[in-house]
Amino acid sequence: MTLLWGLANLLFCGALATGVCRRAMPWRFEGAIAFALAWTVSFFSAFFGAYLLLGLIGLVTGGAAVRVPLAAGIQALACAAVLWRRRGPGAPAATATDLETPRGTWRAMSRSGRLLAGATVAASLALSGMLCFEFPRGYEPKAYHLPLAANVFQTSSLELWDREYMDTFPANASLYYGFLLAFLPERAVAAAEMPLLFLLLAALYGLGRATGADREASVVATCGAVTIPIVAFSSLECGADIGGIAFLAAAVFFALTRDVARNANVALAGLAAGIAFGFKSLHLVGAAFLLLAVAARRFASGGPTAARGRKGTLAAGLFGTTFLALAGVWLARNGLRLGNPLYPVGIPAFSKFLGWRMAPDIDYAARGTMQLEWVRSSAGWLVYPWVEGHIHAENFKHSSGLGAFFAGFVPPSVVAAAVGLFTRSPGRLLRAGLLAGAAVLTLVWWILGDRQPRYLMGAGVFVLPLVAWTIALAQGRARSILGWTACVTSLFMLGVVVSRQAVEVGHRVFVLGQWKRYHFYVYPPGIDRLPAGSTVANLIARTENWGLYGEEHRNRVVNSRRALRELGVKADVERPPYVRLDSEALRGMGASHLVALSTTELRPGPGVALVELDRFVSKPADSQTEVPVLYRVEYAGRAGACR
Amino acid sequence: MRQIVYSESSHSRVPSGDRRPDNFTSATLARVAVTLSLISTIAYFLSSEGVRNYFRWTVTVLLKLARFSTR
Repeated sequence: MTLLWGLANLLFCGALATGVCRRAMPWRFEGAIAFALAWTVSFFSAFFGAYLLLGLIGLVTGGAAVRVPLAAGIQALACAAVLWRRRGPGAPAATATDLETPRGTWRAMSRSGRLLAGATVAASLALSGMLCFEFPRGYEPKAYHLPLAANVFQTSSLELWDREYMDTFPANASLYYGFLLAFLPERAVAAAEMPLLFLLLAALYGLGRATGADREASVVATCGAVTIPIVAFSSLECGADIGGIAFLAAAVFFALTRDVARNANVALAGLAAGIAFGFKSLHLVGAAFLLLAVAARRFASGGPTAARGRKGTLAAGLFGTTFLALAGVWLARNGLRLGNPLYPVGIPAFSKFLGWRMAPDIDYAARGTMQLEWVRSSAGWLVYPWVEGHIHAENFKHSSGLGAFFAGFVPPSVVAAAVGLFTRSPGRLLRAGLLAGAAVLTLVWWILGDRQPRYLMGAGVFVLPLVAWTIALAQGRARSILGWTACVTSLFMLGVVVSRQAVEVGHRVFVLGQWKRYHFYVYPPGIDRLPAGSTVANLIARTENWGLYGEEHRNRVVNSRRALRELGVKADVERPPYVRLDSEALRGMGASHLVALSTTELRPGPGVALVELDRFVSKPADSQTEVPVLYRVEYAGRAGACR
Repeated sequence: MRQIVYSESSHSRVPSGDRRPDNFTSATLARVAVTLSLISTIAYFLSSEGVRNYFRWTVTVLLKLARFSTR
């Protein structure tokens, strides 16, 4: 039944997107890429819009409204409304430049371009295939994206799972993965970032073309973007980064390259920016920049000053309204429940002025030291793309490394585009907009002080299209040199990503024979056999949260941070040496079971007894000295009450 | 309505109907871009800790693989 409702969701979203694109907006006259992006943004707007509306109803009424059948009902109603509506005003006549299809591109590409494109497609397929041998992975996904996903659909609510700062971010990623987990095998969901990666690539290709670059240059720049380690490794995890930048790229496409005199383009830009914010609240900066850009472009459209001002204001209003339609629920939830719509983000002086609450579990003053993981001083960022330092030598992963293609092409392209602004060439305004967007995002990243390379991925969306433009500048031999340089740098980075993934999967699955879920997440197999509704307190670490939901995701889990804090363990301590088990604290969490490391000394207080049920057996045996152990909690006077 | 219009390419491999920006014959800018790109790429391979560590990791994996296959 769940499968049927899930398919109904997808069907109605698809029909709605098709109806919107074919009837309300004549997208087929704007080219294949614009149509594909409009369709995808409409599809995901319908998907997230329904769940966010239900979440808002739940937050206001306190009810459990976030349910797949109810979302399908809302999408069906919206679908009927769109299909019922008569066809909109006639489309403008198509021109030769608009009717672009990908046909002929492959044949027309040079050998280096074909090699790069072919290798990128092959690597993407190989990586997707390898992911299906595993389970969803990554620090953030295991710590909170996936636990939040399970929690939303267990409680049918967007209420906060916990007040730990990591659990209070906007959770579009969790809605997306939670929905897929409801009817797809967990191994298939491990590759769920891939469709979002393709959206990112389509948007980057469209942006590259809009700068004036030819097809091959745009294809090369797009394929090169895949090889950037923070992009490639992020797309192998069930995180929020790729979704965030994919929808930001779509928003940039509609806001900066399409005709903003058409309300539909502005609305699509606002919706895409709203979805991007729901994936990663950091994209609020990009959304604010795009709002100003849309207003400025509309203002510059000609006519009397008063009329231009009105048009600019209306365009900004439409962008803001559509943005809030999809971002507003997260802002409202955090504003009402936590006293700061952007919680846990905050600049101390600014938040104090507005009366916004800061997260007590974040040391804002220490955020500046986060950068020491990658650079020795702030000046180190100037050479980071060429040095790629990392304190633990983890230079290439989801949060580290920009790779050879980035180092070889992005800085030169930024220089070329900046110099190109002083020449009389078409598309100057767009390039200026892209450079300005990247500059604004970089400046805010610098000011906020939490300087991690992946927090600058939004700026990458603005600069990568300039690579296509730069490649297209060159002719003849110079073009060939650039083509082969792009090919070699990208192939090297693809080799890094594929070999790392192949060795990891091969070692785990084929050498060690660790095929089961409990091997992957390292937990006692008894977790998978607990009665439905069991509540497991995690006394190990945040990354164990997701595994403890069990293979059918039926358990409830008390986040390690909350569990340890309520049991009196100092904040930020994980894998504690000992824990005193207070009866009242455990009852308060509703814990029927708990999981702790075998090396953690558990000291049951009065009224609590523990029964060991199971422990993780490592494979090969004895390869681990400390293993997770599953206990049943028994309360005095209520023996078995929590079983 | 503003349309983005591109000029035809002079690049022999680009098919008809494909477009390139006007006024991109700024050969100097192209030459600067190519030179910067080559220098930047070479600098990357010479200075990247990531590349060095990756090669070290590759050697370790190959040695382990050799040991594993001869067991």
